[in-house]
Amino acid sequence: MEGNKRVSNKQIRAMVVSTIVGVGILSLPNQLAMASGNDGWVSILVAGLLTIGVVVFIGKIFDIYPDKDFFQIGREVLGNGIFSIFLIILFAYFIALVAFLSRSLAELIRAFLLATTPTEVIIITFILCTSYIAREEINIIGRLAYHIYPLILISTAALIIVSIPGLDPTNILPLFQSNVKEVPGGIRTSFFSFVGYEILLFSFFYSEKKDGRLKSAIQGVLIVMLIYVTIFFTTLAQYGLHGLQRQAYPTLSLVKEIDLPGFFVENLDGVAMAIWVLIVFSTMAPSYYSAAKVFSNLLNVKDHSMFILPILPIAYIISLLPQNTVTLTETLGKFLDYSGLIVIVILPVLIYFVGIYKLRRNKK
Amino acid sequence: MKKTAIVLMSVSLVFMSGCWDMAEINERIFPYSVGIDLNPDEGERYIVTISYPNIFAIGKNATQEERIYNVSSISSTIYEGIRQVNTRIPYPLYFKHLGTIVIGKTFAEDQESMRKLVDSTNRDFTISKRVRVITAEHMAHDLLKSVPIAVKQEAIEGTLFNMLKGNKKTSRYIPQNLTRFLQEMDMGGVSIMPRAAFHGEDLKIFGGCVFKNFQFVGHLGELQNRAVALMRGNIKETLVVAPFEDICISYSVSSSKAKKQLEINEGDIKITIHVETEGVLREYIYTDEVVEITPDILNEMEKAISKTLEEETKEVIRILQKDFKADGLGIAEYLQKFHPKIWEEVSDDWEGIFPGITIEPVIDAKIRRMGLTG
Repeated sequence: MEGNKRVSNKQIRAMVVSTIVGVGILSLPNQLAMASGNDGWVSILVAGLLTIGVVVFIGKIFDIYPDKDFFQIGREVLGNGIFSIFLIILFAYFIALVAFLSRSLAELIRAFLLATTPTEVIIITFILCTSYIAREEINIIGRLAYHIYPLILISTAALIIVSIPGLDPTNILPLFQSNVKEVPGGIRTSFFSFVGYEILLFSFFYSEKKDGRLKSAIQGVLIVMLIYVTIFFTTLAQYGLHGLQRQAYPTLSLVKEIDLPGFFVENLDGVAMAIWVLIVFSTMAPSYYSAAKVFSNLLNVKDHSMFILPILPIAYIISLLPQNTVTLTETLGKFLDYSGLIVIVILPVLIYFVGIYKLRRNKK
Repeated sequence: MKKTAIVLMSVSLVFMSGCWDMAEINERIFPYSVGIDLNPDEGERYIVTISYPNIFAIGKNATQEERIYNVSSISSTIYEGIRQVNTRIPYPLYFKHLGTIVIGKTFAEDQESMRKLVDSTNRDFTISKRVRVITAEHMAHDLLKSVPIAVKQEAIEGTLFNMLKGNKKTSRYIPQNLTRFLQEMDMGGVSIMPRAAFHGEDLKIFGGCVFKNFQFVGHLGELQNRAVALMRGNIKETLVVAPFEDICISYSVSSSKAKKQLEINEGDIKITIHVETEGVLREYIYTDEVVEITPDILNEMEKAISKTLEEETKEVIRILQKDFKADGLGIAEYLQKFHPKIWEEVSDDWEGIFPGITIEPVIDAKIRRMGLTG
C-alpha cells in the first residue's frame, strides 16, 4: 500500500504553491498596505524567509527519522500524551481552516457572482465537492496540486501583463519610508499568508526521492514569494498607497480595472472569480485531508476516509458561526493565527530540537 | 442496489431546478448613465436619473420608436433613488456596464453629498470602477433628458460614454474615471473632471471642473484645462495656435512629457515644471516665393509656440493658486513620492502653503516634422 502512495518532488513543489496561495491572495496587498505602507514587500520577503526556515526544520525532522511518518515521529519524540494534545490543536486548526476557507469563499461568491443564492448552499456544495478529493490519499492530492499549479502561475502572469498599460510605476515611491515599529505587524500579516506549507508534514514521508524534496519545497515557497511580491507591486502601482488602503480586495479590483485598447476585454471579474475558486479548492482539499488524517490518527484508525463525512457538518456549522466578514476575520482568523503559530511553527521546531537531543543522548 | 440508485436519482432532481441567480439577458436593464442632482424644490434631497436603452427600438426590426428612456426619482439617499427607479421599470437594473455618472452642479458644490456618492459607488460590487465622471453645467437631469434630442447620438453604448472613451484628439477636456478621481483626491485633495453642457442641438463636453476636498470650487476653460493637462503630463494630442510674425501658425502636439523639480531657497519651496512637447507644423502660409524653412525660422517658431503655451500655463497657475487655492497640478503627489521628508513638513498645512509657493513652467516645444512642403 505504501508503494503506490508516492509523491514526486515536482508534486511537492506544486502542492506547496497551490496550498499556500488561497483566499488571502485577494486581500493581501490591502492588509500589507495597512500594516506597513509602501514597504509591504519587505515584510513579504522576511515572512517568506521565515517560512523557508520552518520548512528546513520540517525537512530535517524527516532526515533524522527517514523511515517514519509524521505521527510516528511525533509520538516517539514527544511521547504519546504531549503529542496528542498537539494533535488536538492541529485538528482544531484544520477544521477552523476549512470553515474559514469555505465561508470566505461563499461571502465573495455571493458578493460578486451569485447575489441571491443562500450562503449555506454555496458552503455546503463547496465542502461536499472538496470531500470527494479529501477522501483520497496524498498522491491524488499531489496530482490535483500539480494540475492547478500552472493555472496559478499563468493567471497571475496574465493578470499582471494585461494590467501593465494602466500602471503608474511612480506610485511605488517613496521606498523605505515606513516606521521601524510597523515592520513586525507587516511580517505577522504576511506570515499568515504563507500558511499552508504544513502539508509538507504529511507529504515529505511519501516523497519518491529523499534528496531533492527539501529543495523542491523551498522552491515552492520562493515561487509564492515571487507571486505575492509582484501582485503587491502591481496593485500598488495601480492604486497608489491611499487607494490600496481603501480596497478590500485589491487583486480582484485590479481585474475590474483592466481596460485594454479596443475594449474587447472588460469586466473580467467573473473569469477571475472562477479561477480563484479553483485556487481556493486546491487550498481546501489538502486542509480537509489533513484534518481527517489527524483525526484518524488520534483515534488510532488507519483509514482517514471514513472521517471525511463526519467532519463535514462540524466544519459547516463553524463556518456559519461568524455574523459577517469582519467577525469572521476577528474570530476564526485570530484563532487560526494563534493555533497556527503553535502547531505549524512551534511544533516542528520543537520536534526537531527534542529529536536531536534524544538522538545525542542515545548515542552517549 | 437498484432502489438506492432510484432514490439517489430522485434526490438529485432537487438540484436540477436551476440556480437562484438565473437571469436572462433580455430581462435586465443596462443603464448607460446615472445623473444625480440636489433637489432644488422642497421635499427629499436628491434626484436620481437613470438613462437606459430601449432594446426594442434598436436594430432592423425595431418595434418601438423611443430609443432611450430616462427615469427619475426623488429620494433622500442616492441608493434609495436607484431602488425607487427599480420599481417603475419592468426589469431590474444591472449596473455592471454603467458608463457615465453625471453630477449636477449644485450636487457638486455639496461636499457631503459628493463624499456619499463616491463611497457608495466605490463600495458597490458590480459598478466598474472605471466609470466616467462628468459634471453638468446645470442639472444632470436636464442634460440626460437632452441626450435623446442631440443630433449625433449613439443608442447602443450611450452618447456620453462614447464621447468620453477612447483617444479623442484633443486635450481640451480629459476624461476622468472614478478610480483616478479618488486617487487624485487622496494624494493632494484636488481633482479635475470634465464639464458637459447642451448647446443648441449638440451635446458638448469641454474644460474642467476643479474639485477640492470633494467640493466643486471652480471652472476651467478649454485652454486652461489643456494647460493643466500639459503640466501634469496627461496630453496625448492637441493643437496649439501661436502668433508668429504677423500670422498664426498651427502646431499639433504628438507627445509631451512633464517633469517637476523642487528647489528650496531659504525655506521657500520652488517648483519648476519642465514640459517638453513634440509635434508637427500643420499650418503656416503659402507664399508667392518659395521660402526655405531654415533652422533659424524653425527655432523662432518653436520659441513662439513655447511662449504661447507658457503664457497659458502661467495664467492657470495664477488661477489655481490665487482663485481656487487648489493644487490641481499634482505637486502634492510629486512631493509625497519624491521628497517624502519635505512632504511630512508641509502636509499638515498644504492648503495654506500651496498658494504661496513659486511655480515656474518651462516649456520646450519641438517641431519634429513639417509635412510635405519644405
